[in-house]
Amino acid sequence: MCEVNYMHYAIEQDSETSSLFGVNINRVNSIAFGIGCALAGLAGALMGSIFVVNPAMGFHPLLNAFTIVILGGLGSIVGCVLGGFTLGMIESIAGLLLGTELASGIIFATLILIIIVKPTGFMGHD
Amino acid sequence: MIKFKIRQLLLVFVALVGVFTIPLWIENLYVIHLSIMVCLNVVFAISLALILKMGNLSLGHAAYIGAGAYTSSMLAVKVGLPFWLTFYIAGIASGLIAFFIGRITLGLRGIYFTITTFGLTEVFRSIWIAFRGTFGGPSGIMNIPPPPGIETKVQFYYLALIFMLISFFVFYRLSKSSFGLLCDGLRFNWLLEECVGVDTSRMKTIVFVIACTFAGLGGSILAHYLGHISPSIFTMFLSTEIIVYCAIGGLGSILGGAAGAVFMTVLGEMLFGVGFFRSLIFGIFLIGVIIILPGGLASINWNMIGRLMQKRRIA
Repeated sequence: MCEVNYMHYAIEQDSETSSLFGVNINRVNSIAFGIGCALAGLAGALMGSIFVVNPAMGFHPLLNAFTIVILGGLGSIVGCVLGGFTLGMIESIAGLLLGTELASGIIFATLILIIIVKPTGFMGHD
Repeated sequence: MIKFKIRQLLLVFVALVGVFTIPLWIENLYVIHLSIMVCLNVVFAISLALILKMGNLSLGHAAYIGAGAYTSSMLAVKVGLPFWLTFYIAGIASGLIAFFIGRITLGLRGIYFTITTFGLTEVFRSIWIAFRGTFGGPSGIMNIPPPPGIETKVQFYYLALIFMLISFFVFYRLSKSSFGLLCDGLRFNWLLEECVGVDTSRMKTIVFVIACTFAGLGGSILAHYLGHISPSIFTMFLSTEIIVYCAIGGLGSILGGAAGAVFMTVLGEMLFGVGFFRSLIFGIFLIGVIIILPGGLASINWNMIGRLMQKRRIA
């Protein structure tokens, strides 16, 4: 929890009002975007050392990432960790039982189920 | 004002005569093929434009096109139903999927709808690949029969053209009616519209179902025209291309979506010679349009251009 983090919360709740209170929206958003992309690049480098590197390798993780973020709750870091573990388990077990080709179908079914049952996710707030 | 309306009608009439007589003065079959693809792409683009008009971004239009295409060709190949029946069933199937997805996600605000539509493309692709016996696996469905009575490309062109004109008429009238105004309201200020007493989630679902039904119908014609469909056609890239058509034509404008589809399909075909650089040029073109003309082709003020040209002629 640092100053920039509070600014993120402020922008998420009301960007116009936070800019009136002196938050530089563009700068704070750029910092968040930069940190997020840096982490994604780090994960990509780790993934590349296990799997094959190709231009379309980002598609499957993209769907996973969206699902995990919704599963954990939008904007919650702890929720993302929890959601990542849950989804990873679901995907692996389903892939073992039903075959790997249907794995993205299972992820999507999970996504639909969360949206029906609890759209805010594990740790999300309204 | 009346004079202007007569001029507009005359323009529409000339354009209609022009598109209906294309096979008479062009005998090149490649041009006919290109015209068929333009017609289908226009249908896909205007159906997405209606969804964009209400302020929702659908990343999964290819899924609905694919659903229509697969339904129609499966019924035609495995059951043996004629095209004139499978065509409508394809539309209904796409509409039902859209209703299911829309009912769940369109009531929620935020990115849920976009993510779900994005996921749907992947899911359909994985289902089509996983069930080899039913959907043919990665190689898809082959030997889809053409519609009875329509064998040549010219006849197909008229089928696609009439379908395109009907759907354009439907979508254009919808966007100009009070229903279309409500769609615009959803994009500009949904809260105000809800306060006025509009059931916004119901409105959104209706719009989504109409748009996806037409996408499914277009997918059915596409499948029967190509004669062979596979999961590799209906991927994320098709959805993105349709979004690019709408973005270049002007987001949320039916006429703009149609113009963008015509323009980009022809440009894309011309760029096939450069091979891999095609998508690069596509991307550069899109960025250029966004920077120079943020409203897309629909925002060009033709009257102003005419006046500018007149001024130049005088000077």
